Amino acid sequence: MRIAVTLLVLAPSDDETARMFCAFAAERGHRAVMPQGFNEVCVTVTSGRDASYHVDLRVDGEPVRGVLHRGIGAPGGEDGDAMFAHAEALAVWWSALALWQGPVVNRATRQGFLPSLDPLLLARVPGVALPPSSLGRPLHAAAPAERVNVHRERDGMFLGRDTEAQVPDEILRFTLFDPDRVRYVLLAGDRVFEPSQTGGIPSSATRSALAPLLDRLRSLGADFCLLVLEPTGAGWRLLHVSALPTYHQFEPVLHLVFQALLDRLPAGQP
Amino acid sequence: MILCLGLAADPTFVHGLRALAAADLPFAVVDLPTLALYGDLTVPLDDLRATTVRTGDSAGHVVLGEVRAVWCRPLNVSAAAPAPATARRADGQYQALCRVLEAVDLPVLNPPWREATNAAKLLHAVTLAPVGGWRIPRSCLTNDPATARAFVRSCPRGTVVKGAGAAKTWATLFGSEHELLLPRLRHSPALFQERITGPDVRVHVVADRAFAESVHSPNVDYRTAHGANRYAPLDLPQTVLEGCRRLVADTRTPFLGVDFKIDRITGDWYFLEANSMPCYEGYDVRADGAISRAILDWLTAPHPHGSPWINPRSHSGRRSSRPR
Repeated sequence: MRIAVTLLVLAPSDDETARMFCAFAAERGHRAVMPQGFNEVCVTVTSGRDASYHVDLRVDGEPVRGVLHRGIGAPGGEDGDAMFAHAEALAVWWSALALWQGPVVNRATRQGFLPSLDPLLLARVPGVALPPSSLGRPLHAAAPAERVNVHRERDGMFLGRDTEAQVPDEILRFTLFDPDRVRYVLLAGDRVFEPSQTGGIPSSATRSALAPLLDRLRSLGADFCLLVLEPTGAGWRLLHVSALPTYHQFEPVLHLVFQALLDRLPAGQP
Repeated sequence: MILCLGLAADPTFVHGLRALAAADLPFAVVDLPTLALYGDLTVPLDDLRATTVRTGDSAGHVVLGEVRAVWCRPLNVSAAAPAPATARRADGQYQALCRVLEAVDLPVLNPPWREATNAAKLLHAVTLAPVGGWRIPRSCLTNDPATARAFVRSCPRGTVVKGAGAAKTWATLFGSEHELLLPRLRHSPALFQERITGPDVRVHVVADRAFAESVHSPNVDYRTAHGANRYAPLDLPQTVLEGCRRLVADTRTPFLGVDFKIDRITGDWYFLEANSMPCYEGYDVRADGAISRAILDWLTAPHPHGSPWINPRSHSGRRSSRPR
């Protein structure tokens, strides 16, 4: 017998994955609310002179029992008022979700509002390396199977492969890897998935090899993230990490992933 | 050579460049708007020291591996770019430079994303005050008018209202005229703090050296009282000095502008915030250049591999910084 609770899903309105999670939680009798303004939620953070603090999160007077954090999206406009409102909202949610005593999937931390997962720093974990990659200067494939992947640095958007993906007036990130060897691993709560594998579960060898990296991600507050990796003879190349996985990246194991997220929150507790 | 990254339109940046020139130290300047308009940036991500910045002006180019240290005051200037294409380049260059400066194995004063909590004032205060061993003003960040009203009534010496984040807002004394505005909190929370009556203190900390001034102002927010403030050098209590040193070590940002209030009645110190990109030039002029000399000493000192200032261990948030 599960006890229905109120969950808060902080996400921009166009986050389809967040909406699907809300529906999944509702099917299990819980109330999952995705507020699109402060008028839909009550947030209070108080602190004493000794820097002790308390956070109160409520929806319609009901205390929130768990939070799935997927950010607040981009500012609503480019004018000064919209930018200010966005910076203030970010500051409020950052303080609240970092200090709240309840469970938060992808908790805000002192290091970042969303877990900050730059492969440049994660590649310091033993067994993990960066692929050949460059900002601003195009790379050229060294082997026939390799492709040059092109991303926009300012927002990480994938633009395509090879020279046809290059666009002017952008700082581009070029990453060299063999697309046929790429593996996707999803960390969701206490569970690890590999959606392309039968049953969606990575082999024990893969889990063991990636354990230091997964531990590092958890230490950064990241417990819902997608890793894009390329195995090499000596270990793994870390191509990308996203703290905002989208449902199409884990569709074969969608319900298992959502259940793993619920299990991180009181809603998953019997 | 010292690499200086910033904006020619930033008076603090220009002040620092003048100090470098007066000390006859070799340095190269990258003006970020010029870089976006005319320059270029290439970063081999598996060899950050090979990063090359073509400055876009007569200075030519700089290779990161050839510099001794980096002094930076980066701002994302994309919003002020004259054309969308330039804005995209400025944004991309800013994001790339901040990533590089966080990860590169070089002394950087300061890595721009390292002290990330500056963007969330209350988190910042409750996180950093215990490091220094300091009190903070009782605070309430809320979008609930009733909670705000109750907090205001619990502050017999008055309540200060300010923004919750890094965007510049003036600290304002809550008055009866603000009561009518409280319902607006439902759409936009605000930060309320008990008023501490007494002088402000700004301490500029460079590694283990500190330079303090008290600021006596007729206004609640001394930054609004142009020409009316009285500044005086201040000998820091040893406990505060030691707390400031712990703070720069804990945040791994070698240069901080730390703000306090001193309660005029009790003499107690209250920590307000620590700015990792402080506007220090006015304080430096009054201190006869002592802050600049400490910064130059830090930039030219040997920093062994593995020192807390380089070879970073953790991550920072991606955000735009604003000088304060």
